[in-house]
Amino acid sequence: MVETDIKELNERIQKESAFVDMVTMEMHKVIIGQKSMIERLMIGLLADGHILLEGVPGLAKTLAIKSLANCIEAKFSRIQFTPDLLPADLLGTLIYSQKNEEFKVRKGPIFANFILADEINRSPAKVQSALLEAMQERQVTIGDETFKLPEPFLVLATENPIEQEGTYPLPEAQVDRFMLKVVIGYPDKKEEKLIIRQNISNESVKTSPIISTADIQRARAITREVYLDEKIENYITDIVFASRFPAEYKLKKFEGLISYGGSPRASIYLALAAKAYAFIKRRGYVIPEDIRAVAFDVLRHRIGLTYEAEAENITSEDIISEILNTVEVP
Amino acid sequence: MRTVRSIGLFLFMLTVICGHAQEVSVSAKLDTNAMLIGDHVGLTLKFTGPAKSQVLWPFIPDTILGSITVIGRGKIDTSFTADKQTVSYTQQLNITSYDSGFYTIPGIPFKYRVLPDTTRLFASTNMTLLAVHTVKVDTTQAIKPIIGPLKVPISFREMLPWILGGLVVVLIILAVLWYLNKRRKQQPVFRLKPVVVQLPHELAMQEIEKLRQKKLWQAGRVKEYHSELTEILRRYIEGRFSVPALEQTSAEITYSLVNNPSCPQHELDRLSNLLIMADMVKFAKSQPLAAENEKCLSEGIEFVNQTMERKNA
Repeated sequence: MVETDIKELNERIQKESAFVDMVTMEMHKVIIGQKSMIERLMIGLLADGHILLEGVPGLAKTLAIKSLANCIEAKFSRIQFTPDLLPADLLGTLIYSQKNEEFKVRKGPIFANFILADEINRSPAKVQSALLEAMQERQVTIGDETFKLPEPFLVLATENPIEQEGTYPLPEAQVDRFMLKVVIGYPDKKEEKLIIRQNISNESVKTSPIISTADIQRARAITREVYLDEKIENYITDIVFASRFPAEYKLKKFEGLISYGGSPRASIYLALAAKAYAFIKRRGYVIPEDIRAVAFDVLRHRIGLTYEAEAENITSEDIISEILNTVEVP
Repeated sequence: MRTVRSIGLFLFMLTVICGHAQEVSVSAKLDTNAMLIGDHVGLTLKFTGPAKSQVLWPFIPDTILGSITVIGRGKIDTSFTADKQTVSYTQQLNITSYDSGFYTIPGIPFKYRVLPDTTRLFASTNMTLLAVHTVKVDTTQAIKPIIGPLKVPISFREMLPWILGGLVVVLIILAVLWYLNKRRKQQPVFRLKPVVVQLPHELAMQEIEKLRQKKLWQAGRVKEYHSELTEILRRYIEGRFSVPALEQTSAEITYSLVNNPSCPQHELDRLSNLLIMADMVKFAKSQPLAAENEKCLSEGIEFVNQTMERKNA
């Protein structure tokens, strides 16, 4: 019934996506709850998109990223962003060797597969832009030499929303480079009790490597093959255009509330993230449910609000929700 | 040498004194010094001084000397010389008097200071003479009555409100007559076109029939066929169950109808299967068999028939 290519793709996905459950289970050994966050980390991993995690301190943001890196046989670096951090501390620098009487390249912690940029908004703009440039170009220039960053290269950054004192908020253009912005909420009562039990027990739980970077590369290649119909493309463009020109989509009430809508990157990342979500759900094609599942995380940092919207306590989530409820599903 | 120095000092002092004397001048001038009783005459107050002067403009009361009345006060005009070194403030007053006689308007004091020096200085205008003459009356002539007001022709603008008012009254009378006529003939005042409201299931059935006649899947347009069929059903669900089905995904639509008494579980399953099949065609390049395409249509009709609103017998 289904054309061979999708049927065959479905079979390949069934085979190749087994690690998704394994990684998720392994991560759940360490992290209680936060299912959505773990799923989003998997989307970022499969769609080759960087992730920005936002949540109050103590919600296992750092632990989640560390655990994910542990599950994969890959090089992991953690960089704590501080106000005195310099781009060279991140990228690397040239060091003069007195013995050999020459400059030697000393690569920075960015040369790893998984980068945990902890509290990215704590360091000044020049360090942020150094990281974000590396994220975009996937290469770093030290002195006269340009070095390719290893593959897979995934930056998982965290930021604390309440600690505004002494922080440097990321400019819109730089936030746009993150594929997803995941907002993490508090665990429920049941999960909180489990967290207490796990942390006061003598047993120390650790994740162990399950897959290699080659497996990830293979899964990424299949994810790109997931079929995206033209109807879904139209649905994506409708959603993004509704964020730019709300009046054209029966959302005139948002006209003075949105300062800027989703960029073309929003459309690209919506498609890529939906493909990764379909892969996780063991499907070789994207359905509107996939778009809706990732829409909030892809769009929330890409919709700018005006002062009027802030005064009326309207969030970008409210706008996305209204857009999804207004744009016709194919 | 000493003599030369003394002369120099004298000349310098003279220059300073003269300069200072020329710095500020105030004046109060009448347009004319003689006028007829009740006539108007202009009184111009003027202050001229360095550009940095700050002037406290004199207050002239409404009545001067008990008989001269100020009937108009102009704004204080400011003007500068071309080199911007000297400023002039001018005010025009309009005065009159209804008592004949000779009046001496006293000097008007101006308070000012020249910045940056904050010392308050005074300058006064010269006294001004004003003669108010009476009209000569020829007592030999008889006293004539006062001339009555002149008649001015009525303009269209004045007539316009009356014309409009008249028209409104005529229209009201006509409307009342029209209404009474209708009432006498027992006719309805307004004839409203009856609005034919089609029920959601009637509309859905019509559209399904149109879709059947289009023979889309037979022409190989299977995707279009399933898209239209699901859209018809979604519109029906929106009208029948007040669920925003056009903006919902297949799973959301099914979820919205769970526990709805008008949509039993087997009908929900029927709808769910139909939507899943359509999704496969629309998004996964699925090519159903001819029988499956036909079945989708009949299942759609059955769903509408089984869930449509039934009037109480």
